[in-house]
Amino acid sequence: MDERRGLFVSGAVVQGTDHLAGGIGCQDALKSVRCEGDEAGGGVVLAVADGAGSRDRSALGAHLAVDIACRVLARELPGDDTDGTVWTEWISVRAKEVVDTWLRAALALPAATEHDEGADGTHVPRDAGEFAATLAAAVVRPPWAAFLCVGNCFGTVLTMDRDSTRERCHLVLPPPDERHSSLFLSSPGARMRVRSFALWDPDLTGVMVATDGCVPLTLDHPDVHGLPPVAGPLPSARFFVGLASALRDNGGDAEPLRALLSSPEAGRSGDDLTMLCALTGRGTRTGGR
Amino acid sequence: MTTDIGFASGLDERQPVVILLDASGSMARPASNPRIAEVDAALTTLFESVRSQARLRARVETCLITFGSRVRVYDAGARALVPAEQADPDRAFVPVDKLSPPPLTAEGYTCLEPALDVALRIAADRRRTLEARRLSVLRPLIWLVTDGAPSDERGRPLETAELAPLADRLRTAEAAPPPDGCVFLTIGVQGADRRLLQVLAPDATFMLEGLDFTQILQFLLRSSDRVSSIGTAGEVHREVARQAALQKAMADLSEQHL
Repeated sequence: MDERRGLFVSGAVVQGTDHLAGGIGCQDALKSVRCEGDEAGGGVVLAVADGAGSRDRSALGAHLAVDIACRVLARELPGDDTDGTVWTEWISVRAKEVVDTWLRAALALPAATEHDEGADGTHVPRDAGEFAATLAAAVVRPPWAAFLCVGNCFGTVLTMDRDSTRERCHLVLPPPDERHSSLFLSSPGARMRVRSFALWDPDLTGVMVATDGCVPLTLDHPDVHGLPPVAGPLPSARFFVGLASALRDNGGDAEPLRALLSSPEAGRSGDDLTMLCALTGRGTRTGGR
Repeated sequence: MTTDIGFASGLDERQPVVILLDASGSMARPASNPRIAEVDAALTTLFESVRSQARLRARVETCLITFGSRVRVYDAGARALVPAEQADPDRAFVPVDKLSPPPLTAEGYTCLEPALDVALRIAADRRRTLEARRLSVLRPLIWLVTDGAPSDERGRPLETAELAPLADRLRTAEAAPPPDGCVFLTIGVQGADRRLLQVLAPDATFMLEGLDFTQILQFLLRSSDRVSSIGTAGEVHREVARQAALQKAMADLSEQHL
């Protein structure tokens, strides 16, 4: 296997303890697909989505979101030899396409068919909010990775310098500060507020996207590292590097991730927990297997 | 290379809870079954319940304020109730695990107004402190636990009309937009003058007996997942009322059939 380009994908969705206690089903979703065409060179798409807790049909909205993201992002990737502006433009256009497609699909569903009469007598669907969901997706084709995000999902990357045995994690897609307002795919202006970017790193060894329930379990407050609040949340190396090692040791089987997110300590999040990873063979291993 | 997996820390959402506890002389009555003992037992149950639930344990931070003729705030560092004017706001809120209040004693008049002033101020300060640390924080919850016989500083019982300005201040505090705002509930103990308490909290006056604090906290934490920001104080009042009615119905059913 080409350790730089040969990717394996592992992911898990675990119902939140609070959802379980309240009789609320899991409202998260994940999906991953291989990019289309030989020229894609082994790229993968990762998508995770989180249905809004207070909306009955938001789980459906989340499933729609990951499905649409995978279909839109798996095709016609830029070539390896293109520069960053091409990738940036590509993911920006695709991000808006994902939001537009999701909105059209949600409005076409029966629960959204409450409608107003349009001026010409046509039916104008009133609201896609019943399906409100957040979304994070990444196209991973080392050394490139391109991200899009609507709402408070987040993403990290792992890198390992040449000749190094130490893998490092970076919070490249932080959860936004949404203490007083939240953004969903159904929110007004979501198309204009979708975040997207591309990065290039020859030392890229992994990409992880996750829903916001994972924030308190995977990101440290800066004061844990003696930094001021303005530094923002920091990815926990103990979590991300440790998890990547365990998954590599396990041949990509997601059991270590599922067990981790199902553990009693993870119950402190309360929310549904979803994480999806694409890892190269190059990176840390525990050496346990 | 060996790498252990561990979880991150410090970014859990916070739910400040101020327990404003009437420790006036009337709470020592009746001698055979003092009201303060009822409160003590309810708080013990609440703290144990919060400790046993990972999500609540990580998020709920509690400030205990007692009032009689004087207002006192529990200081976690000193492990004692200290006069409000000496209280350090940064040490007033502690995780339930670190809250070990001394046995409560009831004495003096029921000087409610200065106690509410302290509670509102200390709750607002805490929310601002957490916001400045860029933490997600829910609106502080203030629980007034009392037998509902407020007085002035000389012990003269206050009339309903005299409580109206205080009630107005509470409504204003509840309606304030983030980063201010709180949710205020009154909890009456046995023999409480419910009519008086309802002046302070028309839609949020409940009786302590049979009320499950833990369920209220769980609802508040769930509300943070909502689409349209955190629920209003009115929404919280209605949900608490619904849950209190449900708990009473279940208790009545048990009594009839078990």
